[in-house]
Amino acid sequence: MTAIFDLGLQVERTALAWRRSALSLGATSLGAARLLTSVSAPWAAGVTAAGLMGATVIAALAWRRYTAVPPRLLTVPAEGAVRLPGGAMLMALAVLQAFGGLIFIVLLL
Amino acid sequence: MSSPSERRFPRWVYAAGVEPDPRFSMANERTFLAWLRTGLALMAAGVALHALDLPLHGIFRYAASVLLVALGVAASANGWLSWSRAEQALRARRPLPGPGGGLLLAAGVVLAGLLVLVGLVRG
Repeated sequence: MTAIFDLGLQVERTALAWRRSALSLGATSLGAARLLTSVSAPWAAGVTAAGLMGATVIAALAWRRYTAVPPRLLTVPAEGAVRLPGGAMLMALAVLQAFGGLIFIVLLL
Repeated sequence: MSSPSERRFPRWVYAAGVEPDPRFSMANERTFLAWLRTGLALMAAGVALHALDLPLHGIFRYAASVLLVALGVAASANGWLSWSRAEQALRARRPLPGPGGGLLLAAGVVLAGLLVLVGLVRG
């Protein structure tokens, strides 16, 4: 019997975590836009668009990121045999979020 | 071993060391995503504090609002830094780094809470 390597379903959990994060980004953008309408309508529209677009793109890319991985983790991999994708998407998400926050601070000051 | 043709971003994480257990890398990634969601929650709190009609004294509300959004931005940055440092440590088979900036962020959130509390009392 082949030993299953990934008993914790890490791949699926990580894909779901990306989806959760994309959803949070989308929902917070909508909420922030609604609250920002009283401050500045054009900025509110911009925040909604950027946040929703970012959330959709990230959700789609994150799905692709993990559809290739599962087959490799069902059996014990040889040392160094599994190469996961890099950190470009992580940085993009962090930058997008930080940028959104900075825009709001600028609007407030 | 990572090859000289390592093309993953960022190079300063992936250029050295060996591929870690993929489960650990994925756990690191989920931790990063949790930091980002924390940052979002902090930003949302700051925006709500500013935009909603609350019985808070003016200057405290303003200060708490800006501080919370700034903490949200800092949490996003801290998430990225923590991820990259942890991934480097995993690749080098070194102990994982400590919370570092996370403690500072926690102190910041406490300060924001105190500002809101004082604002509610004075408002």
